Amino acid sequence: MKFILIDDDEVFLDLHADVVSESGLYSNPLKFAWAKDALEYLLTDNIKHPNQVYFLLLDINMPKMDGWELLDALNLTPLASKIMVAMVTSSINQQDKDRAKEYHQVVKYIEKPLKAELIITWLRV
Amino acid sequence: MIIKKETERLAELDNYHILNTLPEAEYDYIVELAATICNVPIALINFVGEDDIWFKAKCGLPDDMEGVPREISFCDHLVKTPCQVLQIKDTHKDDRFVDNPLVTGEPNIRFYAGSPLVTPSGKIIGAICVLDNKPRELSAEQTKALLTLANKAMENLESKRTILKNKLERDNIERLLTKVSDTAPGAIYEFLIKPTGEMSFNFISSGVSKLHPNLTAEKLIADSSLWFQLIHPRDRDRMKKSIANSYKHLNKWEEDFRLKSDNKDEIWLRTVATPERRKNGDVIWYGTFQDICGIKQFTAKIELQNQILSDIAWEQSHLVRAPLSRIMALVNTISTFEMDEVNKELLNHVDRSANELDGIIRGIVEKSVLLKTA
Repeated sequence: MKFILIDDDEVFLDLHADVVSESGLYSNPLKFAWAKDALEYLLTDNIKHPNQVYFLLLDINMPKMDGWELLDALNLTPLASKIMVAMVTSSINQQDKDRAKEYHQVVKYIEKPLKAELIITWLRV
Repeated sequence: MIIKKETERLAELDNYHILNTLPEAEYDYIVELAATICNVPIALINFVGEDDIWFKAKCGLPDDMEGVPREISFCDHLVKTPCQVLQIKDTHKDDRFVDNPLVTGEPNIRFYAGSPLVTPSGKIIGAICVLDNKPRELSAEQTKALLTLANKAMENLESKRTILKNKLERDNIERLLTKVSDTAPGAIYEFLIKPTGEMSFNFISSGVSKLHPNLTAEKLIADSSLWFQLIHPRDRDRMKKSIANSYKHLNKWEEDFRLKSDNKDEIWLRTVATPERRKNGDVIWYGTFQDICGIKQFTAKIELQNQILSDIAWEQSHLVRAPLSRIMALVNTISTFEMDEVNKELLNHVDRSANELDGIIRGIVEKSVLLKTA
């Protein structure tokens, strides 16, 4: 299993990486400031390791390609069945919450800031 | 007291609207009958006005003689001293009349018998009388006949007054209705659909011409299809359906719709009407057309403003929340560090303030959602 953080906000990328590392469940999460880079990485990595499973901590509002667009792109590939996603956003938009339910890979919708306890509970399940 | 009674009597006389009216056959018959029965040359039906006695019907007197001054009249005695029949068998032997110019000169009255016209409220407004230029005395039958004819004349007056009163009331209501319907904003109408599907405006008030430059009440009453031609094509089907529905179920017909216009793009009207089914199957709507262009414009403006306000609140709250969530995350991270009590306390303050701000932003977002759905 690989843990991947995608957020255009560098501060969050670092903070969330710390939270995940310190939870002791996963030591070196991968960080992407651009959704497109994350997509490229996933596609390449999936070819190398077809049985790999990925956890995504995914921001929604990002320039160029946002969180939804990344999910839509992934859903067109074999990766669709190999990802588990937690949407992590500063948005408190009900529409975003409702939309998250339409993706079966999205198991959690978290309003920032991310709490260590939350991620631990989630990862254990 | 006497003056007051006289005022009331004159007011009562006024109610019959009889003074200075043209001769009427029914009163002419009565006087002719009175003269024949009493076997005298002269008979009169007269009314006692303020200063004069006015003859409504007469026989045996010159045509140009229309009345006499009240102070020389015989009949005025009936008003002043009421009795069923006043009879002066010979004026030359009666101190009250011996010097009367009607006795000493034309028409040389020697005999008088009169019976008052008494209204239901007991006021004497006039009399029927028979006159002769030689002394005489009425028989009991003749006296009774005179009394009966007085009652008959009064009955005529009374029924005429009732008819007149009803007509006046009806005219008043009609005038009121015309005034109300002409000055009411928009138009008041009565619309009919027959079981055959035939439609017409039985009535539409003149205000309809203010709703649309091509409309007048006359045009619409003559041809109701003009109305449907003017309804905006986008609303026509909906209007047809809703009136058909109202025809079927007799529910209130209430619709906002547009009329086509050459000058302006749209004229918004609202109709509210209550249907009623007649025995023959006709359905009649009593209702109004109201100009709601102002309301529509105002509503559209408010909706637009709401949208803008909602968008502003939405965008601002999200713009503000992004850095705030960063602050909150940083506080969380820092709180895991080793630090002394003072720093811990300070960090607590930052944490509480950030959370407070978060609460405020959530409140704004909630309100902006309400504004959108309102």
